[in-house]
Amino acid sequence: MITQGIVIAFLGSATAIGLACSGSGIGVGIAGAAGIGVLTEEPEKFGLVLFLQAFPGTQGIYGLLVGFWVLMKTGILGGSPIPITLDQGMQIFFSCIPVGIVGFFSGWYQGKTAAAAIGLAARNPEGIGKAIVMVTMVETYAVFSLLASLLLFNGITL
Amino acid sequence: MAVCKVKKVNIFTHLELKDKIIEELQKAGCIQIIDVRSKLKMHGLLDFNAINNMESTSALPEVKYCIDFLSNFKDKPKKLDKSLVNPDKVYDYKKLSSLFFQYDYKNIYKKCKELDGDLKNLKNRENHLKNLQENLEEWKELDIKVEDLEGTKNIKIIVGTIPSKDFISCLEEIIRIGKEIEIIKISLDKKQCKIMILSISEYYALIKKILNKYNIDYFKIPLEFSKTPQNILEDIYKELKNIEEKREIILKAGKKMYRENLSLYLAFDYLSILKNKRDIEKYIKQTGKVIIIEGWILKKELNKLKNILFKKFKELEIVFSDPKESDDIPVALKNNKFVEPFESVTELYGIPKYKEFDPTPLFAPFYFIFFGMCLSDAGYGLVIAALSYFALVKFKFEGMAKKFFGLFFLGGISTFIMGAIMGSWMGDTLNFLPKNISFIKTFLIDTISLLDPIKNPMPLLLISLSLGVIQIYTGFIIKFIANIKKNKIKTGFMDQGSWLLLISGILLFVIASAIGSLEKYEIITKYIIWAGLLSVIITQGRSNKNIILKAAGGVLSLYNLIGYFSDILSYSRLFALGLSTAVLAVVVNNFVMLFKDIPIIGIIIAALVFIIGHLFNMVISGMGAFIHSTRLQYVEYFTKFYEGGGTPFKPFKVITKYIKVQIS
Repeated sequence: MITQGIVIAFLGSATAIGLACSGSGIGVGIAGAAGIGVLTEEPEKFGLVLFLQAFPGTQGIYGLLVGFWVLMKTGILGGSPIPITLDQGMQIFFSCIPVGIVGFFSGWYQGKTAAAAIGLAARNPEGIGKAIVMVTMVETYAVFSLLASLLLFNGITL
Repeated sequence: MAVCKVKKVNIFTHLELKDKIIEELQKAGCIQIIDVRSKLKMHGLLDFNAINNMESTSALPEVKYCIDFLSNFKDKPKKLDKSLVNPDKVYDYKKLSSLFFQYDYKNIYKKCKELDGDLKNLKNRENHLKNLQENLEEWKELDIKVEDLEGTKNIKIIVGTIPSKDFISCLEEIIRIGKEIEIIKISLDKKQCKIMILSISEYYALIKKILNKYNIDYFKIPLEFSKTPQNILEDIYKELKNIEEKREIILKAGKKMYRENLSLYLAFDYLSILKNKRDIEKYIKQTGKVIIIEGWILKKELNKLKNILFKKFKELEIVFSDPKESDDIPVALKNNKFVEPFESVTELYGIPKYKEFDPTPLFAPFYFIFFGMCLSDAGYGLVIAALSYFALVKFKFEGMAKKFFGLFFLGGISTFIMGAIMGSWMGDTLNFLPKNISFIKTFLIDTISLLDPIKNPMPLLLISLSLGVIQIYTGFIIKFIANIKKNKIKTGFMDQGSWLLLISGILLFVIASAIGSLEKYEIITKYIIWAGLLSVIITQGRSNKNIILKAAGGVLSLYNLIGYFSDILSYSRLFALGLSTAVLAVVVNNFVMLFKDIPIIGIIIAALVFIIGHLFNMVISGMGAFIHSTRLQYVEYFTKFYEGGGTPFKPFKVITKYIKVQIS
């Protein structure tokens, strides 16, 4: 049965996936552009560049994770949605907000950091360990937002 | 702890022995020779300049060129495996030089150069012809030999294209110039009009001026030919075909050369060994008759060096001495088998200074647990451990690669343990087992598993944060002990002791107020907090001179408290990443179940989705586990006690790129 709550839950799932994946898309794009620049000079660094380019991709996965989690818990994925009240639907929507918004911005900015790290990989491969830590600093907030979303969602009684 | 003791070594010997000794040292591979050129400019020491190394310096780039050039002719990887130098074949060091001198690399180099030159010429010619072809295609209708288009002394010929819309007006303008002009329209379509204009030479400039106004595009006459455009095109076509054939022949020759000349790899490695030797010779100081080799050696290898050198040479003297504080002493790490793979993480950050201690054994247990918690799936753990073990056995890595695969092997085992504790086996796959073997599930979930983070996440979150507290405490305590060992007892108590007091007080207070039965101790914890606050404020501003600034510095340093608590909160990522692996795995299984009910192909698709989905999750989450466990060490743990920034110990030894060499 489709209730108003289910519709809002849809919105939540879509927000989490849509925003976080957009952020990752932008981030991976920025890092990839920098990576191609390096590869024109040094094609043998492909593995390292790909590794660094993948960093901003995690936000999208976190968003996808929360989005699917919502779809599964509400039974939408199985084809038989449980009746959810409007209040519950709103709760679900709000619990999706952190991972969506933070995913968007942290994915974007992690892309910039990853691009800089790729630039460093071209000039000074030994410093790459430290550069990776810098890139991971941005990731921290995406992980926290995932944590917040999961905890918020877990607090909803369905 | 596990930073190897290093000694300085000085070897004195006769000049004549120099070559041999250096060769022995290279083979022994246990000494890092110091470049003394910049340090000592003592009178009477000659710069090394004896051997004419012209040949070997030019030979190495030549061989490298051949290898690079011929690698263009590699066959598909399948064939390559058979024809390549057998990677398992081990060459004897003594035979290298004779093998090298048997081999006429100069000839190969000449041939490669020739082929390369030919290929380049063909390419240039081809490009040139293709341009001409493109140009001439447009002028096929012109039925005049191109050499005739040059005109004579009195008659000028102009051939070109102008936009069709301007054709009439252009024509009128030109006719107005004079009578001795002949305009021939070669072709006309909607856009362009091709014209040929014959005139006496006096009019030439005038006509050109008009034509330029109408944006004429002149026909570039290919003067190397003397036929009509149509015929030239045919010639070009033939020649291009010819070029293609010639190139085929060269490619075949190249491929043949590639297959036959795998000794190039041997030559390259042999020459690199020689070059290393030559380079190191420059580091050595010498007088008219004596050379002095100065270097670093690990203490445990002293005897090895003595044995090797004294067995072969008599006229030499080896002096060992303790390194001076001011020296930049190289650092080598030595750890047991369990800890060794974690050295890769230390090396990424920067290895310790010689006087520092090796942090590897101090973070290895934490790293082991963290990696498992981030991935936390028994199935993934098994796969990763098995794959890394297989890679370690099969490829026999050395150095960094070996350590990394060892790290993943241990990480896999940890993941297996953590996954079993959390009851995650490829997500919730166990739920879908057929009825008759469901006892496996009962055993694995009900007996072994202790936590179910998906149903009740709070315990795991608390465990993660507690691990954070433990690690931060450990960091403080390590620094405290390090200070005491350095006889900085006061610093230890003031910097680490005061903070430990404050943080412990706060934590105890939280525990006491959270658990009802401990309420009566709350007041004690408050006293501890006050004591901690006081000690931090008193001690942390002590570097300032002024008493007011001292107090202000102490109060300001309380801001660090926020930093320490955010450090602890940072460990919640262990929980978040672990849960995200588990949830993604469950999502994958859900998808598998969606496909299962499609008749016939359903099972195949479901199997594919299962494999690809879990593989994807394993790789992504595995990468996350590696990165985040590493980061926790670097940012949260190391900052408490570790500096790093030492120079690694790089012994002078035989280094090969392509072949394996055995030193007897």
